[in-house]
Amino acid sequence: MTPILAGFADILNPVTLLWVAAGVAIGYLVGALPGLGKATAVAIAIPLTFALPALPAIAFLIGIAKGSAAGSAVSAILLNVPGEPSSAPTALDGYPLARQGKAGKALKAALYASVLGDLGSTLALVVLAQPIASYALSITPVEICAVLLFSLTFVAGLSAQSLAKGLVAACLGLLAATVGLEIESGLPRLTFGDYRLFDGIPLIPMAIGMLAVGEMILQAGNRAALDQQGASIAKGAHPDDSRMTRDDWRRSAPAIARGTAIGIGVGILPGLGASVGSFLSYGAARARAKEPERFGTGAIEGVAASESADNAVVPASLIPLFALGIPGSVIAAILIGAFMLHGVAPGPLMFAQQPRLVGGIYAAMIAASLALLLIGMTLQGLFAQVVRVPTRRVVPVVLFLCVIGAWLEGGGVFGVQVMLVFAVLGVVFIKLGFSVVNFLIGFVVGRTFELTFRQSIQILGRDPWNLIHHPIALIFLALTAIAVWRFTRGARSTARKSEET
Amino acid sequence: MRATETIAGLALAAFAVVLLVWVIPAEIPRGFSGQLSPRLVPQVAVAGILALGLWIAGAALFGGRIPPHRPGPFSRGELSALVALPALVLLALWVLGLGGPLPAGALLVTGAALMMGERNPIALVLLPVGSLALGWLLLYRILGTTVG
Repeated sequence: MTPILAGFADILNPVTLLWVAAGVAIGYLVGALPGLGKATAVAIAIPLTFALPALPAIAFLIGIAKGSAAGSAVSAILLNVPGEPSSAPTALDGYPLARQGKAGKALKAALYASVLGDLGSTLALVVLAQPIASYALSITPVEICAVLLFSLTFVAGLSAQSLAKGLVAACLGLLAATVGLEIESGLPRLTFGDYRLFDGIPLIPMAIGMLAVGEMILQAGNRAALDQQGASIAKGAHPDDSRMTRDDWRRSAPAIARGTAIGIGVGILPGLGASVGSFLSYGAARARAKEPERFGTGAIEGVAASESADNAVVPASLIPLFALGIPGSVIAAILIGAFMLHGVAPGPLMFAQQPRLVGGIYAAMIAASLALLLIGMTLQGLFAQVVRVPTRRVVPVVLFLCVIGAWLEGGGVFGVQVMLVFAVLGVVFIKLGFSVVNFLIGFVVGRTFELTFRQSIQILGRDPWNLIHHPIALIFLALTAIAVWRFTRGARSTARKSEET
Repeated sequence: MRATETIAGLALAAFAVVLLVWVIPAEIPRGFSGQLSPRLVPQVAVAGILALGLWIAGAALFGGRIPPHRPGPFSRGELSALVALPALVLLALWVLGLGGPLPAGALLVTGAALMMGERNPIALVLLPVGSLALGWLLLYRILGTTVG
């Protein structure tokens, strides 16, 4: 613990703390803008750190990553526009809460869950970095494929009221994920000769289109009813609508604990990403809820589950980076560049050669978690004013931001076109009762699932009996079977209840 | 609602058949010998869509159970918005090519505001001005990139 204590001493000076706070504040603000994710924010900020010493520079960048992971919940809750795809499940219950005049409560739940998830994951990084990372080396594509298959069963679980439609949406998402150059052979698939599709369909414009623009189309189509609702949703009548009550904490605490654990697990496994973590956590919260039908209509634990996992992924993805030099996520990959720039080579030698710096980084990460709480609470009041602005004035500005986000992340006009196509598809999905979220889960998981599926077939020598040498994979396959059985049973009983009423 | 479910299920099944019979063979090569075909996962996904589409249609036609989510038809307002809002964005993209980001952005924001029922002239001026200023700050100053 001595290097960590020495690291705390290094952090406890006003200039370094200021850089940590500045990073978190900038990240929180950037994360709140649709389409600008943490990876973009950190990449933009790297040049700003050229003149800084290693510790404040890395602390600043990690602060941005943490701040933007939490900030992306703001637009998801207030505008139904996730700052990045991993906040999409937050919008599912956060936005209905905002429409019920409980935006303050939803924002607070998201912030507290973000801070707790982030802090829990940071502590896991400090305590478990080396042992867990060594174990992560034994994870093969067979295990990852089994984990992904397990996560896909939650797609079915998310739509337990209409299992068939949920699965259709997931299959369509998987199909959409196969568009582009096939990773093994390099052959184009379903590109119709358009080279812009060779890299696949860009996720951010797709998510913005389905979740945000689709919602705006429906709002534009129902603006008369919306104007009538306007006054009532502007602000909740009861003080409890703006704060976390004891009952809210009782509902959210298990979801936060579970989400943090899921986020840590997903963050450690390279390539899965925060989206898988937040969707999995949301699915797990819904699957374990006594009243799963509340989800999607404003369940506070849905917001907590999604945000805790989303934020837990960021520090956890640094575990393989710190201990093995392997980036566990895009953000970790970008941070490698920043580390090298400042003369730090991530990997096992970092612990031996620069223990004090490692301690300083750990301390900065803990300080960033606390800064996130303070800055989030300060800025939330400002953000919460958005719900008081009439929808007819919010929609044009949000549409403009959506177009900018799709333009930036989709490579110009193509990104905007993708956004529009999926906006129309999103509206059709919503009106016909197909789940937009299931589609996005299928898409997010699709590419990695296909790759690990192919690798698994080769590793197993096309003989399923060889699975016996992969006990972790077998456990997840068994869990998958149990999950399918439970969700199918749940769907049947829901349908029966519906018939009776 | 039963008719909507039946049509949706049958449309999905038809979509899947078209993909399986024509689109996938035409748009995805067979791949190289000794490797798994690039068609494998798309075909599995489409087969799933076909089976589930038939299940949805069959349940609506012959089963007593209708899923709890009962989709309503599109209202006239929703249908107009479904056409008008994407058309507005496409128009703005076209103007972007002709006149640059300022008129395109102003058209997008003002058009969307009018579509949402905004009639206050001050708001109709301030909304595009504020949005364009925000866009300029974000794109040109912070990100150091351009549009158009």
